[in-house]
Amino acid sequence: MSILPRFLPRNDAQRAAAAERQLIHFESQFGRDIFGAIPKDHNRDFFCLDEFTWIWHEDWIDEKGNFKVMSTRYVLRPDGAIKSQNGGAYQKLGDEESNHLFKAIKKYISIAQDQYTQLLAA
Amino acid sequence: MSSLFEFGDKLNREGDISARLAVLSSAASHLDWIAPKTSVNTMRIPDASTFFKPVVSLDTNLSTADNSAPSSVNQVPQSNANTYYAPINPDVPESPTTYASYEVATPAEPETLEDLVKKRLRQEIANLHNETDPNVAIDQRMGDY
Repeated sequence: MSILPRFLPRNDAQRAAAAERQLIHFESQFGRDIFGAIPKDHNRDFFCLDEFTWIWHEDWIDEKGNFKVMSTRYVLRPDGAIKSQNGGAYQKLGDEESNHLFKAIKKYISIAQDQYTQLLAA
Repeated sequence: MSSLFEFGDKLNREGDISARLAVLSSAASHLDWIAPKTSVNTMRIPDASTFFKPVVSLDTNLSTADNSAPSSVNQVPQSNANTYYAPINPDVPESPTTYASYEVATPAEPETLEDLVKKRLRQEIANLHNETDPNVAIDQRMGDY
């Protein structure tokens, strides 16, 4: 009996999941720029986790040297979008934030489709 | 921007990218859910829910309707002609009028002695006619003993 498969997980599902993570990292490169300039010492990611879920992650060092994190999970539902910040309770988005999210997602998908189409054509 | 393939070498170029594009297409199809209402209203024909009278939810229906249940399962009270009644609503107590259309059987009147005698005579005459086959008649009489 071998324990190797535990350390070399390469069935189709696991390989596909690893590939999707790789693609998400790729998308996050342009996703983080959709919201404008990133402040100094900030890390930002914005990406599509699945067809309903969008993640905006931001971490930074504050003026006192403390590490800060703000991770926002947006979930799209037929009656609108809801969000949870740092694992807190979900709340419904206001109109303004919902409109911003709409524009950001539209921009993100447009860039991603262009990039992937070029890659597939190459 | 870094090349996609700098993130690793595990990609199945067409399969994985196509799968990811499918996810993004699905995500794009859900954008309608959060589309700004102002621009949507000017660009789109109203959907069926605004063309037609809204279906009132059962809870709303119960709170706005009068307390009496519909007089039959298919009848809608005139005061709430636009509301929808579920065919069977267990939360609404049964009204006696719900069963108004049921036909109730009329109890039979008690038979008189004369009727009983006539009935017995008819039965006896019928039995006599059945004794046309002598063997059957004998067998019947033998059976009586």
